Amino acid sequence: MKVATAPGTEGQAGAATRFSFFPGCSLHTTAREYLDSVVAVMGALGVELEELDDWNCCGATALSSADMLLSYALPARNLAMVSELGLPLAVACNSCFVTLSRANSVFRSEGPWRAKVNEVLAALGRKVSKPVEIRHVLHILRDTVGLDRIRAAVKRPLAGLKVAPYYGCQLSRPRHEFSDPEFPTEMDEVLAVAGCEVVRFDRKTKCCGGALMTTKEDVVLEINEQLLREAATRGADLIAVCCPMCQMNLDAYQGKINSRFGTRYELPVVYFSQLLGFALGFDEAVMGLARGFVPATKHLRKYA
Amino acid sequence: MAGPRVGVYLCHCGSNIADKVDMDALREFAAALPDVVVARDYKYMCSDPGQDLIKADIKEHGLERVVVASCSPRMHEPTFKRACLAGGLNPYLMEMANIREQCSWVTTDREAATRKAKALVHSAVNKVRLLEPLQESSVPVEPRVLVVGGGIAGIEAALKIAEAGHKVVLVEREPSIGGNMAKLDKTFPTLDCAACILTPKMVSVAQNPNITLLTYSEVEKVEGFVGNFTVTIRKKARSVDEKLCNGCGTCQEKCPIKVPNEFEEGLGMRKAIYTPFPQAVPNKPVIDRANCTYYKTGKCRVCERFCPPQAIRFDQEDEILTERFGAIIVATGYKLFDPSVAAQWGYGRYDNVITGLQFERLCNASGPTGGKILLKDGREPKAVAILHCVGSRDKNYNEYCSRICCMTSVKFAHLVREKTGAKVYDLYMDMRTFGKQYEEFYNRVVAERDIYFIRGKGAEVMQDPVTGQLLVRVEDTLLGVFREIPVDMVILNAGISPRPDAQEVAQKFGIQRSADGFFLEYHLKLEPMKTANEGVFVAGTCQSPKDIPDTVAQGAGAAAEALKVILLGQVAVTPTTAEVQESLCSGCRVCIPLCPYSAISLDEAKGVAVVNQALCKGCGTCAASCPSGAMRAKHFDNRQLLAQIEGVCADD
Amino acid sequence: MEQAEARALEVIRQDALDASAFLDELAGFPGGDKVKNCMQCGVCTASCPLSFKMTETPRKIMEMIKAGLRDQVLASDTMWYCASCYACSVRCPQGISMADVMYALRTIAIKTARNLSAAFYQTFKDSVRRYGRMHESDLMIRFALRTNPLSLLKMGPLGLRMLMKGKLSLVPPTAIRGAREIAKLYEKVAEMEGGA
Repeated sequence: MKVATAPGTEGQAGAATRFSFFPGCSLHTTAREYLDSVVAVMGALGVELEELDDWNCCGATALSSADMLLSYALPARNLAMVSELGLPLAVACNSCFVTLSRANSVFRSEGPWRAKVNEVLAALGRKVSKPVEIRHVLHILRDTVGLDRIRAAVKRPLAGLKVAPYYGCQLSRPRHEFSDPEFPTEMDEVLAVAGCEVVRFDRKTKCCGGALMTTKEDVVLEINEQLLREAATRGADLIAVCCPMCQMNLDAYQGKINSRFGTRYELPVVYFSQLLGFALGFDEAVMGLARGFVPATKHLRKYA
Repeated sequence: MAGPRVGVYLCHCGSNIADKVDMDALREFAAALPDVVVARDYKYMCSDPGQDLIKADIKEHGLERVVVASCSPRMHEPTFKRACLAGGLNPYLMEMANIREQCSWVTTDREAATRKAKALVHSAVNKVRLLEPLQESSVPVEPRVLVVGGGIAGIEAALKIAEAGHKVVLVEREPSIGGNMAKLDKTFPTLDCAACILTPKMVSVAQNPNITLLTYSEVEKVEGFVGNFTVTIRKKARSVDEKLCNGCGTCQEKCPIKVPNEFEEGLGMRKAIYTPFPQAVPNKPVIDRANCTYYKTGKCRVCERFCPPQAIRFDQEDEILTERFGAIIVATGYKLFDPSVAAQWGYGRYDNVITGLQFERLCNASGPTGGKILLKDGREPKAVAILHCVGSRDKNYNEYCSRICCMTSVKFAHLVREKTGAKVYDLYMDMRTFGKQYEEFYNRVVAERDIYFIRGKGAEVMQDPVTGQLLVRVEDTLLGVFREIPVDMVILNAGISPRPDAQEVAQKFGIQRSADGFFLEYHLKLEPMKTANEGVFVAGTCQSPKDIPDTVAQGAGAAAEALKVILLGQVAVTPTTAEVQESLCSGCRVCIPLCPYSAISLDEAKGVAVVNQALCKGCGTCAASCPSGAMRAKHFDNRQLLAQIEGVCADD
Repeated sequence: MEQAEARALEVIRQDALDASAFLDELAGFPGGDKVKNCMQCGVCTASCPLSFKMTETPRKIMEMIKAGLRDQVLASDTMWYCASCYACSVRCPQGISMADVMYALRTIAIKTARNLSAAFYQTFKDSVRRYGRMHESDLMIRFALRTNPLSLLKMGPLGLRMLMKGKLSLVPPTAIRGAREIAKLYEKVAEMEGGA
């Protein structure tokens, strides 16, 4: 896998600002605050997000472990629907991003999987003729809206708020659209224009274990403890994430980690869009900043 | 009226051709072609008896044209040309048909092979009947050699040529010769000190009357052709009068400006007026005008004030020299792979993660730490990891093996133990100790105490966020376990890469690059110093990664190649060039910009194009583009080519 | 110790291991066609966040594949520890996508595997077929029922807190409008794969 070169151009105002939006299964339930904050932030910055009608689950990493063809065909139904709309597709969840991109890549060349997937879609009366443009919300913010416009829209810069930027593993790997497969900077940049002090976080793309928390709890708790340990050592007030699974593992299980390893972490884990939304002036409740198991509210009091 | 008398010779090439092509049928076919008076087949036409057949038949049968159907002309065209010449026939009245590489070797179908061989022979006979005799001419050769690059390869080449009594100009971009070898501390397998073995050669270069040493200079333009190159060289202004300067070093002591020293690989500083290292040749400083206060603000001039022989010359200008050479040797060396593009190894992020060359500077007594192996904060390391294959043998960066890093790693392991009490962890995928006394050296080091050789490629360098300790992660593949090793220093043995301006340099000298980015040799196994551009040779790591013994060997080999050119005194000009039929030329000038060798110009007086026969390589581009058919490619003109086509199609 | 010895003898006797067949099988999966290029450097293992828990490291699995030890590979726990983080794939000097090889191995093994992970992925697959989307509460309940109903008690406290924070819903899930399309999709896939 080749190392990516930095993609996109900054601040392409005038580029597409209307997107079809794929929330994914988590955003309506466990990651409600991610959905709410992304929609609010995008709205405030002039980006239209239209939830894809009757979208289906992308399959995440589970389907590609259960059935290879299904793991390409199921997300491809979404791509078929999007291609009929003729809009680019915005995605917030890392797992959905990587799974939809994986299915999308099949349509980039004339390989055997393209034919197979189209055969499945044909049975539903659907097809994908060319790849869809899939954009992660971080890139939309940094490249389509542009850092300057975001900075101008910030009403309460979060100066002095120390944030550890945690990307998780599926965002910058294996796809190469992000600035670096192991040390990307997109979230750092967006948080910085919101005024945050982005702290050094060497483990920013080290895997949190994802769905393995269910089946391999012991070892996944161990690796999540390492992530919390570094964030705490670097002096972070909170951890910013962009993936519902990372959020759940680091937040909902933080109590269990503390009791298992005798640690006393109290690190709120919030979606970067919640912080950005708060900086843009939306209030705490709307951004769902108290919804984490470790609430973020006490760190944000000084910016009220 | 009968055409010229043609002799056709069909080679069996042992069984290479004969076991696919029906030689009897082919011979009968050839004999029946128009104007063919003799058709023979023989086991090995390139052998002496084979050649004798041609020579004898030319005399006995009064042959006026010869066709040889055999292997590729690249193999034996010169052989058969010589045979014709020896027999009294102009060598350009001979045509070859390739019935091996293009026929018998690419099919298992005997019938198809024989049919194709017949077509190819027919085609060759058709063409040969239309060929005209051509005379080779020669041009005199300028008996001087240009060597570009003053590293060990260039130094060796220059010395060999000069010691043979011939004139050399050695151009080096840096203020001193010595190249990358001068940065090393000890060399494997002998552990000779690099400077001790290199500096005598550097001094020889400076003292040899046949060598003109131009340091702080660069080649700007190369024109001409083998034996007759015209090269423009820019001698950059040192801002120091070299004749007056006695190398006392006072200016460097007094200069108030400090900048990172490139020679120290970023670990040490130099002044704005500097010699890169103490043993520099020539030992005359240079002012780095980009950083010198005088050139920025007009103030300071401390060096001038204190210089005892008054050698500082602020208003010195670059000198442009135009020189002629018979041969050029390109020995521009390598650049180390920069591991900052590979975030996982922490280079540039963590202190004490360094490259091999940086470690050499730490070991070197004239380096930034006076030869002590120290961490950035001045402490001695207690554990050091050495990683092989950083940026090499890796499809994410460079696929090739850099050849020297395994030996370098073993050397480093030994040096760390010699100078400190640190434990050493050498992380390797393979142990490539291929050269003379290399395996023996490895066996010596393997037996040393507290050096742990672990078979696994170092995957990443992490840092414990609390203690700050560096952690190297690797799989010990022979044990099958994951290991996280705490160390104080990580040495990344980064690979040898082509220099960043390799493309520019290649274009300047008219040479190509292979897929890996190094300069392309003429033949990987048999002609590693020649290039496709006659008269331009390559030597050293600019051609491929290699150790010092191989570099020196190539330097000497390139010298022999260059001497070959200049000793003959003349260089043959192949006559299969383009020629303008002036009566047909309208002076439209379409051909002139198309010529890749800039061999065509306009004769203003006559209003027609003119081809420089020495520069022309006979590529045919101009002839193909000429709208009026005035440009003719000798030996490949339209009539001849059409006759070939007719020959191929005739029997279908 | 005993188990290791027995395995070693097994390999020596089986001279007729058909490594090519297994390699061909993997080559039919995306990313599974470059296994032979593996030079056993171990970067995959050293990059993997979970390799320290695996019985056979990812690198060793590659060597076992090349040797044709299909049964042992599919019985190994390595692939079930894989989190698909792609650190291995990104760093492999031979450009082999190790994570994709792991996917391939799981999809082959899942047909016969009897472990928690296999059950989880199967439950996920079934859950999505039913509703077109994955409902966490439905997934966890079905998974527990399938494997160990008592584990529901263990998850209880966490689940309760998530309920209270509005992160979970006990409302029975509704299928998407295109649920029948999804069912047809599943059927078509099964048909193309030969009733797998």
